[in-house]
Amino acid sequence: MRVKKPKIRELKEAVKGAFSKPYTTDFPYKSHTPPLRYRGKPEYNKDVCVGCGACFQVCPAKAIEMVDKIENHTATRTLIQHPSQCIFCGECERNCITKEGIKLTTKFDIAYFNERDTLDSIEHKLIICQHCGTVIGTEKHLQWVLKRIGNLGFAQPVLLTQLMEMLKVKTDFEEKVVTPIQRTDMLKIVCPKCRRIAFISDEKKGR
Amino acid sequence: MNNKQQNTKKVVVPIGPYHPLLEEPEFFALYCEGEKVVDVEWQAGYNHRGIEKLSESKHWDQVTFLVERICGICSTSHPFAYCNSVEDLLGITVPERARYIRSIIGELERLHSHLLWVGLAGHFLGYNTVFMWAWKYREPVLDIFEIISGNRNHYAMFKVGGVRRDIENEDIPKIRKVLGELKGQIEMLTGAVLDDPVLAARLKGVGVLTKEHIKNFGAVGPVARASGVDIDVRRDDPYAAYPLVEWKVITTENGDVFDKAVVRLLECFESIKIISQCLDAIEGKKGEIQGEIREVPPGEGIGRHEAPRGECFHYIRSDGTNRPVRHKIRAPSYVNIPTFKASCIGQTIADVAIILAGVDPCYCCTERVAIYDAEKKKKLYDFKYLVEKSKEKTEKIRKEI
Repeated sequence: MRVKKPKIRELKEAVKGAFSKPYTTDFPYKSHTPPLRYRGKPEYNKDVCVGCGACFQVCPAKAIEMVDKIENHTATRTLIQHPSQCIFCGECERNCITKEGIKLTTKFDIAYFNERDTLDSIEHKLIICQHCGTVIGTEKHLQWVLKRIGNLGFAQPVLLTQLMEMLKVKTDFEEKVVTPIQRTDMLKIVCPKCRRIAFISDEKKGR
Repeated sequence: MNNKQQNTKKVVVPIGPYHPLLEEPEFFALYCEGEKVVDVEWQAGYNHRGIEKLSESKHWDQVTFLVERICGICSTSHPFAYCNSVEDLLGITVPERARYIRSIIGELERLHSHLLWVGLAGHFLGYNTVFMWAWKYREPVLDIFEIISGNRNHYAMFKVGGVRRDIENEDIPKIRKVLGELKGQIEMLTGAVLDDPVLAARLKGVGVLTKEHIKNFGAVGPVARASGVDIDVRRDDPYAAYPLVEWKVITTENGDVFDKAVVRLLECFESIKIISQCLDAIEGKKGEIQGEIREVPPGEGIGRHEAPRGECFHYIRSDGTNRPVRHKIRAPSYVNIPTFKASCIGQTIADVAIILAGVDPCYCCTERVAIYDAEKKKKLYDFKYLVEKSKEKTEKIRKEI
């Protein structure tokens, strides 16, 4: 039998293929190490995250959920990251105000039986307006702002109360705002809208 | 003879409409007289996901991720065209390093997309070895994507005004190594396809599209280039790093399925050439990968990119807010698919599978083929039968030669 020249070239490849290992890996039996910059499941860094909610706002797939829970003067913010909806684009990491608060890990094996096992959540203490209950921000977020603006923090009552708490100067927290709001409540933890009411109309005087 | 013709039943062969692999599922009804296809009908719109409407609810930066998910195989061509359109509206230039990186990603994608096509075309013809080999050669390309972008598909590299991630210097030797190996492998594959007498007998003269057909249907990409129509957005409307590197547009004259395969295989070499030149340009240097962007003004922009399947077109209109008010997308398959009207008529059912595959999106939808008798509404043949039929014909030709 006469073997044509092109056939030899293909035979060579066939022999090479027969003696080389298959390209597929033995993944479930042997562990797999993803590359260094692999984009896997995002996770919160509990020490760095300030709970500003930027990741929730920029997520194109709406895979991050933000729940603000207010129950008689104690309020918490929970950020929940759903890996099942995540598209691993890395926008949360890129837009994080602290740069380290949420990071994509190289975890790729996120198949689950129960979705609750894979959820990654982080909880923050929330500061709310003592008069109307509007969310002002998380405690850590305000502290982060304070660190960035330095002495300018003294000019803003909400930041000032935070600063006093951080420096452990302020002890009297019992003094809550009571309705009707009056001019002296301006320097308490109130939202900008309520502060404006306190400053301009002073409900107690009925003006 | 006349009597016999009257007895032949006209059978409708529906192809489609659903297949998860395809960017645009479509439905084909082949009207057959015996083995011969006499007419083709096409319906589209089965996979309407409302991408264009969704795009109006995302802001400029988020839209790149949305359009990336239009197609799984060519997942960078849509962000590429979209970024070109927004940059056209903004009137900004992209830093040189980002332009090179964009071209590298675009060409790597073309490589893996064409290899995928060659493999599937081999499968339809009964050359399962070609299928296995081509897909084996494709794997290292996907691994390269995983190393440089973090994912095998959906690279999330594109960004208005630049790219999101830099290609690190330590990764460049790895890319070069894979490209070097790939070049030898594709040379082998091209030689095997071009020299094979069975393939030549099986594919030459099948599903011919002439220059007039291409111009009438407005077909683009490898389909048009195989018929001798010399169009390529990368050269005709230069963007990214394509005007900065040396390469040529591949064209052939005959317009049959064989020539489409040749165009795709030879384009792989051009892609390798472009990538190596781009790597030379960025290796060991540092540079900006994100250009200056400002607020999007009211107006409109047009962006194009030569995707593996042809010209991908994006149009955006802005009213000055942070979201597009209109986003129009035209994928290459939309103009390539109707060419079946010209290429399938007069062919046998055994050839239809490979003609559909020749245009590239269509091997996906043929997997849903089922042949029904028009009167009895009974299933006659299914997709498996079509592939069998196609393989049988190859076998017959092999024996004759």
